[in-house]
Amino acid sequence: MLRRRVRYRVEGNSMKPILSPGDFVLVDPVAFTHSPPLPGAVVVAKHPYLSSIVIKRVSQVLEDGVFVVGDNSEASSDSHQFGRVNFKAILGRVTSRIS
Amino acid sequence: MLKKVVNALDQVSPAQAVEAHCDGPCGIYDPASARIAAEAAVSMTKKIIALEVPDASDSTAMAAYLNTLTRFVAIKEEQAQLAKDELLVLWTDYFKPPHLEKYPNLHTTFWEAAKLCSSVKVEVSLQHAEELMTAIQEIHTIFWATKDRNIDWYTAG
Repeated sequence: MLRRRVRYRVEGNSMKPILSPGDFVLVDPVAFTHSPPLPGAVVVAKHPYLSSIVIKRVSQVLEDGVFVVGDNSEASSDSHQFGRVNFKAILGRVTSRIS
Repeated sequence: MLKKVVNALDQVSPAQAVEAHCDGPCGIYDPASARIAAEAAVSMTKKIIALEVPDASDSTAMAAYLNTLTRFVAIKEEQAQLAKDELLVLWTDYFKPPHLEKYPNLHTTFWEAAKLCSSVKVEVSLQHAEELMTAIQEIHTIFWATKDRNIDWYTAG
């Protein structure tokens, strides 16, 4: 509970309705240090081949990474396009939303 | 209230942006579109080979033959070109550098498949038509592996 949180600002509509552009999220950067993410977790991760950081929901946990999707599938570029996200590319788990 | 405080804080210490984006236009790719066009070109190749030439003295039959042959050739040309266009879109738009790292043969596979489309378009070669189908099957396997999905190869014909 008292662990450090990193603040991020949301852009785009792919996580609507829970997250809208301009919302802030607090992210626990060490959430997955000792255990892998579980399906359903909202995570912040480095894009597999662009320099951007994405916010998506974990849909499947694979051997070497996770498959992530946007809640709003009509406006989401996610693992359906860029494939799995390596565990090392996950920057943390979203723990709170400020909207 | 909390949002106001955080907004004020963001002025002093801006948070990094996280993207919940769609980088569009649609992100929908499937080697099936190339496969369908290639299958049509293969089918036309077979039909051209099977077409029987009528007696040259029978002008009505000859006209019908030439008409049919011309149509088969036109469709083969069109579908082979379409298969090539679909493959090039897949190659240049869908596949990204990390895929190449995992599948070092990717460029060669696409290059050879595109060249086979040209051969099928220009020639009446059942061998090249069948090689094109094999190349597209290989692309199908790589494509779905990049999406961690196991999609069986099938043909419509």
